[in-house]
Amino acid sequence: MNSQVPVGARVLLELAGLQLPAEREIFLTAGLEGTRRIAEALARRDYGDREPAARFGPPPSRSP
Amino acid sequence: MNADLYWLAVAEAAPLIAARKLSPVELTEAAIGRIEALEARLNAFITVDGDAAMAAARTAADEIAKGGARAPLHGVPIALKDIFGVAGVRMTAGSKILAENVAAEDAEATARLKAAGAVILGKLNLHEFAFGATGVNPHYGPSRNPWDPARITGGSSSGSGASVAGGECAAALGTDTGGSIRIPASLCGIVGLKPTYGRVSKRGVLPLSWSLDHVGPMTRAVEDAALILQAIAGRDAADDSTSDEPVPDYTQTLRGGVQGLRIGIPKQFFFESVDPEVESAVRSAIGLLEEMGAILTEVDIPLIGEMPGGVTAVMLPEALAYHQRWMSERPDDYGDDVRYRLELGATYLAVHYVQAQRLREIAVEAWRAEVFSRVDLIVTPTTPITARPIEEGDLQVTFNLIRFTNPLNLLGVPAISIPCGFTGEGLPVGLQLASRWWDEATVLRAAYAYEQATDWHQRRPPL
Repeated sequence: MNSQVPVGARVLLELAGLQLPAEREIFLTAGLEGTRRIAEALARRDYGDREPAARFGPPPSRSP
Repeated sequence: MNADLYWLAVAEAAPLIAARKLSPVELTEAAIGRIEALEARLNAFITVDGDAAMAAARTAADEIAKGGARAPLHGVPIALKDIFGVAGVRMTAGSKILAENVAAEDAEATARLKAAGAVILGKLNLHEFAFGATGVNPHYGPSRNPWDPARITGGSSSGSGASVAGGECAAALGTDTGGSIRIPASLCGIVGLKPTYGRVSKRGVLPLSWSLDHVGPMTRAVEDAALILQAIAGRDAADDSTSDEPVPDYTQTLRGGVQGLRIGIPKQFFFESVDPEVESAVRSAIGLLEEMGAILTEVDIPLIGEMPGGVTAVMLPEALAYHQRWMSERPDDYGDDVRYRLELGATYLAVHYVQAQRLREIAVEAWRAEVFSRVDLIVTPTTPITARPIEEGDLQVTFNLIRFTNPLNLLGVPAISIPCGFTGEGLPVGLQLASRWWDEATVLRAAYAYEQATDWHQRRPPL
């Protein structure tokens, strides 16, 4: 049976360690349209030199 | 005492308990009796810890007899969404995967409630792993809306909404990653407060999306939300996401009214495709706020076209990161809708996630400069729709439910939902008020003023 999910998406799922049975492909395929729209919108923006929101901080100097 | 003790608000019970006119034992018995009477209809709880609750109530009664009440929550029964750790108590997260999981420790919020003397009644139903907005749970059944048990409560803090609205407890804790406190508050006709990101510790609370998760109270009265926030807010040295920002006395400013407060009405997005009955109730509420002295201003909402996508690009990958091992090893143990969202999380690239986190910084700056420099609050409908029938399905309903709440999770600003009316079918409508970062006091003050000028919060569901 031919997969309905684009090869790229299937590779991403495999890289994430997920298996996608055929009966669930139709849902993921529909959802990919949303991913595409969001990805395109995120790619259009000029972020300048803005850093991502993040909260990594090294431990205090007194910690082992 | 009358038989309706279970309808007492925290702020009503506290002085009675302090004056020893009401015993925590009586109050807890009333709550447990109410739970026993209603659970077959509401399905709000996953675990009712009646023995432990009664033991805690007796301890509270002894302490109060010996030394007086030490806080407004002393001896007051409260329930927790089943992703808050309570040492020695089952914590399922509404999942099959964690059905037998027992928390080793109290969550920090649990510990702070206990330190304030609260009686923990049990653990509340939720959308599986808090990853959905309807509250329809395939493993434990849907929580049912007290205003119409054939309809959803909204989620993910679904049991919290049902239990508080149904009088099973005066207050509950919920979590909010894209609206999961405010949505069930709106659909169940109660108060739900999402504080500023970092105001309340998340330690010991099972995560959905670390950078979007918020912990907050769900109550029938705004003052109760203030009292509970007071007990749980503040820096937790073991949770780096929490802040050193000072925690004000929320009750001190609660009665300040709205005279002179600048309230922004969004020109874009937040009033688009709204159920006419919802819009009518919200517009009436805005009119009342103006009559009460608020200064209304229309405001442009920056970046709102991109922000919901940004939430998705952050939430889905973070959620999949947490669930990856279980999704790899036990995918069939998830409900269909949650598994679908997690699978979709794998389709976002690292670059999308990072750009969304950069968008977040840009959005914070834009809202600071263009919205919260001009107004003290913005006002919107909490949800564009009211409670839908349980069997209606998930995807389109979820899309609608989260539309007006999730952009505020990206910003991390405090936001509250309060009741502002009912539809012709008798379903509650929620009003959302949001303010600048760390200013929960203004959110609570405006919400309290509106609440006191109306009687929506005094209506009881026909159970």
